[in-house]
Amino acid sequence: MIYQGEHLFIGQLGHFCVLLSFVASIVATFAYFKATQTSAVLNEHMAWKKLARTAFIIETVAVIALFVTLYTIIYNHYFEYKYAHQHSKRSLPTKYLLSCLWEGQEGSFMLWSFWHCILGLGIMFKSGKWEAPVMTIISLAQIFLATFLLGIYFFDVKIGSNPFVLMRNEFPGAPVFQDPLYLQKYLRDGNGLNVLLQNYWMVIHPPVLFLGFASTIVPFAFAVAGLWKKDYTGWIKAALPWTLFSAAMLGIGIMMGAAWAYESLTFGGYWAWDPVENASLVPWLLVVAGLHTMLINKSTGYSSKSVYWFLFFAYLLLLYSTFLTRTGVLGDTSVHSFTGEGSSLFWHLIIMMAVFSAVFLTAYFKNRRQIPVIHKEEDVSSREFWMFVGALVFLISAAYITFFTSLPVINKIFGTHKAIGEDPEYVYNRVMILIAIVIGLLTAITQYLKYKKTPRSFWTKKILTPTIVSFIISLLISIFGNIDYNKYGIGYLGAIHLAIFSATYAVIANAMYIWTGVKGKLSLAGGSVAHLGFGMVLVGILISSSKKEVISINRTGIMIPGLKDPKGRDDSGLENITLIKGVPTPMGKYMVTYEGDSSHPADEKMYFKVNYVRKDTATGKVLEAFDLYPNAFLMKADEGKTALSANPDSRHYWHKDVFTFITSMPDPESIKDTATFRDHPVQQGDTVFYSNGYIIVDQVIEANKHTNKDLPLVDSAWLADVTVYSNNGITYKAQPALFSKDNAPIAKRDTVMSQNLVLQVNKVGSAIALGVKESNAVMKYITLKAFQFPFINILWLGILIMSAGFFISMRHRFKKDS
Amino acid sequence: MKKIHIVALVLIAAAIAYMLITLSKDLTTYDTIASARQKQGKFIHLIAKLDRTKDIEYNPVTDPNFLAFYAIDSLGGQTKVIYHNTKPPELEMSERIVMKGKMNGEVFECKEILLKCPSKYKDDPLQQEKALEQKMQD
Repeated sequence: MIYQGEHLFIGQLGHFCVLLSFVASIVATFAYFKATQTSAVLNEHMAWKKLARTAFIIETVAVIALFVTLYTIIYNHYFEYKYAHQHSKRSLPTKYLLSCLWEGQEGSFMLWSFWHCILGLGIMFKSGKWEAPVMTIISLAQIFLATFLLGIYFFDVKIGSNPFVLMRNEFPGAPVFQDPLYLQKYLRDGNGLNVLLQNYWMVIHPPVLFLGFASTIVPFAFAVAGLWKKDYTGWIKAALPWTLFSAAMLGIGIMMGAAWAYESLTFGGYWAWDPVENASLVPWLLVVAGLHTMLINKSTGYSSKSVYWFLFFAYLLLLYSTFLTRTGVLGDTSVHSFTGEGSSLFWHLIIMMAVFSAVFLTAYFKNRRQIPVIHKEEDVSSREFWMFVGALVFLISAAYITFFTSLPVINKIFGTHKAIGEDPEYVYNRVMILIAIVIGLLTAITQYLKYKKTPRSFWTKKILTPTIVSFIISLLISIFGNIDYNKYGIGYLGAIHLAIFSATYAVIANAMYIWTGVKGKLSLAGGSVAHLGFGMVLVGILISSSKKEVISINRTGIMIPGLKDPKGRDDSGLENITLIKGVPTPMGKYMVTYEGDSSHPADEKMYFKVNYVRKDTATGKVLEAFDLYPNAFLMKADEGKTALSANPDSRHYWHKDVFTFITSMPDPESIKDTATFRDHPVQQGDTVFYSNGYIIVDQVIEANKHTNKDLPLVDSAWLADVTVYSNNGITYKAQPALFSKDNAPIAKRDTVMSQNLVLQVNKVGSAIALGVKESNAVMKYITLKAFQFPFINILWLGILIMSAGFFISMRHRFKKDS
Repeated sequence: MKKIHIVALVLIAAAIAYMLITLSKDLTTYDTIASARQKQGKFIHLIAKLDRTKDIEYNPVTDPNFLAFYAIDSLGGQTKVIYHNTKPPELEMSERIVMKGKMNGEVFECKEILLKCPSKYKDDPLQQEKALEQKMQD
């Protein structure tokens, strides 16, 4: 059968690039390996290196071409390709087409591979004699990444998954492919991009995070190269700037993910200890720990063995984190819905971890006895002693997080059914707060220590001022900051206050060190700047989490003053409030009103306008007024039902964010008015009952243009002034009316939204009747959650400063090298 | 033995001891409805499905923080579930529900719901095959 309208060439080109990058990475690995082994014989070495470089550059070109072809397929909506069909659709704005690339597993492996290539080119030109051994390791990783894209069968085992497969080859049995015009008839549009990913952070977060991910191989590769070339300390100097880069990029990448979670995932926060978040945090902790052991070794010669282990664990756990998040092994424990390729990827990644472990362990144990070790003990007053303690604390925190994140893996191995209990965040937080206290203190004092040995008088003199200043500041925060997070008792609250001191100490001590220690020379102060930023991150996390406040606390469903909760629940979890359109509702300090909604045909989102007003309770003066526009995707789902996916909106202040998102709204499909009016003949003073109360007719006014000159537009009018008395004691005024012009009736209906009431006036003979309709369709409402995050900006600013510190150091180290 | 080794050992020992002491409290189990009934008041994870033959009770106008529905599991267990939060929008479409909470008499008091929906499995070949057949009929 000849299918119409397919674009087969571009897919073949893409597949060719996959194979080319695979072959080129094998050639590069082998040639770099030979170049390393023949480094004593100059001619041979240069020949191998030339071949290796050529292969690596070809590979880079192939990987870039891969991106271009896949993007072309998505951009042009070639839905005969599974990748385009699965991850994009026509109505998607162009800016999100890039996100389609990384929504799929293949795309993220491509991204990873791409950054290896770029980093590899950098190493080629920067690393001199380290090029060959380091690039052997990186090229080896590239072989693995290329196999993830192969999609070929090796006997019965599928290896990798090719992003250029056609729909009709993947589902040969599907009846649509009996038709040569299937593309025009049935596959006109794709499935589209997960709405959660339709966010600007999702365009930028994956590339940055993957750059961080990819860069962790560099320090690891240098460590292996050091063992391989039997230069057990020389590699550290060359590897330092790369490690700093890795720590910075991984940190920024993680925090962009946190910002995305904060802005779009509606977890009600930036961090939830979700396995996917943990999986990227652990490598960062280990890279930073490894970085510190590298510095110790470079400056003093201590930690000469442990530095290898730190960098090995960092890389191994990075691979492990990919294993956790990509193979679906987390299953029921994560909100992230990566499902993965199942068992083939599962073993593929295990093999990758095993190969890299084998490479490291072989190299390490062959050389273990030659690694120079200083037998004299570190002095307790030395900088290296406390730096190493800090690295150990990071290692322990990484182990703790890894253990709890790995429960599904442990269950799989041992056949158990364990899971984290009632309060997963607390399981992490209560240990991490202790870690924060220790790390904050170490960050503060260690800069003031000298390598080898610190004279006591020198240290006490220098550290005294920052200690007193931070003590005063943190005391002020503790006293006036109203930090009274007592959910877990006094012990935990005490730990929070201690941690606030410790984090403030880290900020102040490092800020002051920039002046007293390095005399304000910023180019030398990378370490202090990074530590200052890290301290700010801790302060920001501590204050924003312990003072996070749910504004939309609701005890009785709709706000009914004085009514007791009929279902007798505990207070927790009642964090949603329902706002009826146009009805101002008290919420915390604010009076909030759902004022309306809007949508646009070209945009799948629906925007809600929610007005916040805060008045002074005594004077009634408006202190604060703003509108928020949280939005929601309405997705068509099975059986004509719609599903909701909400994006929050926040009001940003310098010291807090008011954060609001929609949790529920009426299904627009269900708003079909099926109720009918029931007429009640009435006179002035009559009472009419409805299901939730009664209506009293206060006044009936009859007028026509002969008796009333104010009625020029209509011929006659009947107005009813009524008061609605609802069962919960609230009264409402309404004024339905009936007009008549040229003998045609015009009804002016009035509605009482919160009572679901529609009122109208009818004429029955010479008398009038009050038409009462109780309808669900009247009610437009939204249910929302609102939080207040104080001082979250300290966290974001801290990340920026910390990364800036890493980059300053990196620049300084690169400069020193050349 | 060097001081640094002592520090390391103390830190690691403290971490392990801490974990062992708290582990039994922190960890819970995945249960079936039948085994959950035996563990009244104990916090557990329940894996079940929505019982589509019964109504879902949720009215955000009267109370946005009250959801009640029935769940069944593969072993034939059935229970009423109460969740004091908004109705997850994809509840009706879910194929599997992981619920965290406590059994209280005949009612499962749920604190957290994780849904597994067909839309999240759009990478699953079976689902895609179904979707393709659906396209033919449209």
